[in-house]
Amino acid sequence: MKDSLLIVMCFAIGLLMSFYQFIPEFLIETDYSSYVLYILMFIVGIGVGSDTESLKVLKRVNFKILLIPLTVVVGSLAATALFSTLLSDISMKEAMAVGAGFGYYSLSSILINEMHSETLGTIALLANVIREIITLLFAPLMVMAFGKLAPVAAGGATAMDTTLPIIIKVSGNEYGLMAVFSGVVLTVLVPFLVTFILSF
Amino acid sequence: MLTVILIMTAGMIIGYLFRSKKKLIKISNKSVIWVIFILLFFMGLSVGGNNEIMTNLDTIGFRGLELSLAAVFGSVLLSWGVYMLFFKQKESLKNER
Repeated sequence: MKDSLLIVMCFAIGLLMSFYQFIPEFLIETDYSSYVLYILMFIVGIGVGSDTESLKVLKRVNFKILLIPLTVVVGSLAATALFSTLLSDISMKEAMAVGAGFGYYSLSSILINEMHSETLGTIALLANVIREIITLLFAPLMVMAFGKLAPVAAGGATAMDTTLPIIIKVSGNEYGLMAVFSGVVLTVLVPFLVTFILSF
Repeated sequence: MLTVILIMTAGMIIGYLFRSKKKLIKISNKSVIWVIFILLFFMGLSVGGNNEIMTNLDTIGFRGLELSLAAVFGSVLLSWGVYMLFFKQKESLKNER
């Protein structure tokens, strides 16, 4: 949660600095963000590839546990696609790209910002930060209404770290491993799915 | 777009090959958050200079909230079905034993 706040603050500081035209000269002249994005993707890859703990979790996979990230993918994409038919300013593809962030707001918003538009990137940032907050706040209610898998599904990619404590608290320890598994799979899927959806 | 995926895949392979170099991996993992800070700062810079976004910030915020609610609702609703079909059963079986 602390990191989430800091990330949103970095965005807000940048936004205010540029809105009040208080930007260092060298940042206006060249756009460094795509190079920094490449660095990010590389070190995110290193983190995923070297994570033998997650690999061990993946090896214990059975058919049922695979259903959890699949549920999140289908649920998020279908619902955002369906909802986009009510909107005139956002296309189905754009809504699905936002939905494919699964709560991984930093990476999804950066990718959408680079590949599509700043407007949609900003929407993705807000939508996916809100997803994490909704999960943290309403996890107990979700369990009561929709069963123990609900907070894992709501948390999406964040189920492996930021929303894991609340999931274990409301769904029980046995759902902790499932939450980590689902979160890891979704985290790896985010860049692939966002890129894929935006390529149409 | 493909570049991003290729670079990440390269990172995954290198990460796997160097997985025993714990110190290096730790530095790499810790630097992720800083790179994200920088990128979100850059994103803020470009958004703040974009008048179209700044004048429509309320609509954009509302769209973010709507899409978030849609995605969460879709996932949770589907997870309810999956839970009832595949997970709850397992628990009651455990109790019967």
